[in-house]
Amino acid sequence: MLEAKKLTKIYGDYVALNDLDLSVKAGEIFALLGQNGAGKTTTINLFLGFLKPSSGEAYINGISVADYPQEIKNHLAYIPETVLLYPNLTGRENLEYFSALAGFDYNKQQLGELLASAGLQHQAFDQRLAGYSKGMRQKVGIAIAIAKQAKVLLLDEPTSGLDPKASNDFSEIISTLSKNGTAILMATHDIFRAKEVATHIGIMKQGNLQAVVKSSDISANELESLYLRTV
Amino acid sequence: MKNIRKMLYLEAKNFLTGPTVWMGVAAILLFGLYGFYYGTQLINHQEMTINSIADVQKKHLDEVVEHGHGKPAGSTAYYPFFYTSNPASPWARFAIGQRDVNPFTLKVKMLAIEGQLYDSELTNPLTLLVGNLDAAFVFVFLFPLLIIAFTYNIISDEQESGVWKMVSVSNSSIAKSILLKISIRLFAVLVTALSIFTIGIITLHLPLSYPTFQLGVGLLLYLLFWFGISILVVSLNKSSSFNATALIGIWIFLCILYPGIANIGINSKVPVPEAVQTAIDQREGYHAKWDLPKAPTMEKFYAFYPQYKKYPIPEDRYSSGWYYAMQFAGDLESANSSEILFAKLQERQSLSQVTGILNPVIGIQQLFNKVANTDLAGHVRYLNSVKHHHRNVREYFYPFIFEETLTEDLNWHSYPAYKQAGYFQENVSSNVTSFMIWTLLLVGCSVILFKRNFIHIQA
Repeated sequence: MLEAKKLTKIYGDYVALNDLDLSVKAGEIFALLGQNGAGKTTTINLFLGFLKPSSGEAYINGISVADYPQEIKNHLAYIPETVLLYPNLTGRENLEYFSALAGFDYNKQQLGELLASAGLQHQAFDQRLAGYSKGMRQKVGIAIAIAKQAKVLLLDEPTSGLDPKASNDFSEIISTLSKNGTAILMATHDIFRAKEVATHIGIMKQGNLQAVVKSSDISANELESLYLRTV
Repeated sequence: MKNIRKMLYLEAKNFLTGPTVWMGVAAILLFGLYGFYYGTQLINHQEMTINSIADVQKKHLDEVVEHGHGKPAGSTAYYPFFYTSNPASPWARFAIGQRDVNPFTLKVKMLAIEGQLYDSELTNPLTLLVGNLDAAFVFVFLFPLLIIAFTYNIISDEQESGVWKMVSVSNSSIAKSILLKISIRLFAVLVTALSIFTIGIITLHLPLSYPTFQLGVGLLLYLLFWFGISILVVSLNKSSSFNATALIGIWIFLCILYPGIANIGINSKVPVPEAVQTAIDQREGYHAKWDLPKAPTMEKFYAFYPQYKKYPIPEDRYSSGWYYAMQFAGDLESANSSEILFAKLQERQSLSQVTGILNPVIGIQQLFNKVANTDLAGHVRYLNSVKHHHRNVREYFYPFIFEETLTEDLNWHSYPAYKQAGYFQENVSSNVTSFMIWTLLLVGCSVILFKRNFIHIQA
């Protein structure tokens, strides 16, 4: 699971994240909504150990990110807004490489199955990544996340720039992972996608988590109204 | 272990499929082949000249003797040149060193030696400025550029393209990822170097013996030194453009500025006007004696060659015995300057050695030139062998000169044969040790910086 306790990040006089308290349990999908600069990506980066918190703590499966920045990498997977991988390697080779980095040894068939489960078409498996569309790379990113069998998944605007079909496929995969017990924290601008896949939705403004609602307790229109009132 | 092999393979594939790698390798290979060709051509040309010396010497001596028929040996002995040569070692094709600026043949007369030692042909000043594009040049100056091209963006490129985030999230040991990337590049550099070095061994006909091993070990450590510099800069965790600028700046400093500054420093600390002074002393010592009484000149000569006291030297007219004694006395007059000259050359060599320890770029050139015997020390050994030969020739002909034997009554070809300086096995341990210390220091600092800049979370 993911947990933030009074997590704060300050750059000089600018407060990027202020006293964030957050908890995402196994099987939950927590969507962070907010405008640009609201602190969504900062939150993700603090959980990833890319940033050092000014105060407070972030935990992955009960392990402090600040104290064990390398150790926590074993417990999480990450899909950024744009998945950038090695362009000279094929999709299968990229998956093989990143899986091997994570300590997994998949054979060719297993790698193919992982790519297929992420929705990548068969004929693309052995093509160089340089020729992939953004959606295809995103699917390889998902395959990498699935292959890692991580119990925590961090997503930073993962459907940004994807076509509706690809977005929908992505949402289905996320839901499946969640049902399998993965705790997922997702930063997104897409209110309706958040409503569709998330179990919990938080709305951020200027580094503060202003509101948290259960997705099942609110309709899409109410969520939109809440969002507009909050930001 | 299987995973490591898998990652190494994919890392290598990713690296090697980049176009810049093959362009770099192709360029260095072409330069290397040209370097081998150039070294071979130059040394072959020198060897051709050296090989022709025996015939030239015989023909020249026969002509002088024929011309001197009926005259005393002392009169004829003024004319012949006695040729000496400094054959290249097999490794000179690899590192030409100073062989293109220092004479590799010297012809000396039986006259005073000192002035004759510093006669040499004018050399193309453009070549003097830039040096030769021999194999050593390729390894010393161009290979570091290949290392820079291979390494300057090891991590920064992935950071800038965004791949690094995925890499750093995907595993719990970022050090392992860094090490993999470094290993692949190091392997690529070493394979390229080994391939070109092996081609060099074959095309330059380098013997598979200890000196070749010395060249190989020196080269390996030198490349590791440059790899260490590159890794140190990469460990600062800056942008690709910063890394490239910093590394090229270091290359310019170590390869161009530092040697230039060191050269000026050494020249001003140990000025060597003695080569000129020696020649002047010898000429003055010789010329002054024309107007002086002959007895003091002869006394100087007799101090070394008392066996010739029995031959009368007329005070009122020219005699061959006095003439050659006077030449010898000229050398005695300049002996002090000559000794100072060689001592100062030795001092320069020692200072150069120190600069080589501080800067491995100079150190590796010294190592190559030492092994190839193409350095200053090699040339000094040659000059000493010429002096030795000059003495042997003089001492062979002195009896005939003082006896006033007729030219045709003595065997002009029976003088002692010139004994070449020969190959001298140099000790390169100080250079090798300095490379190792530098490399260890660089790697040590890099490890600390990698930990600080990549392993720990940045504020």
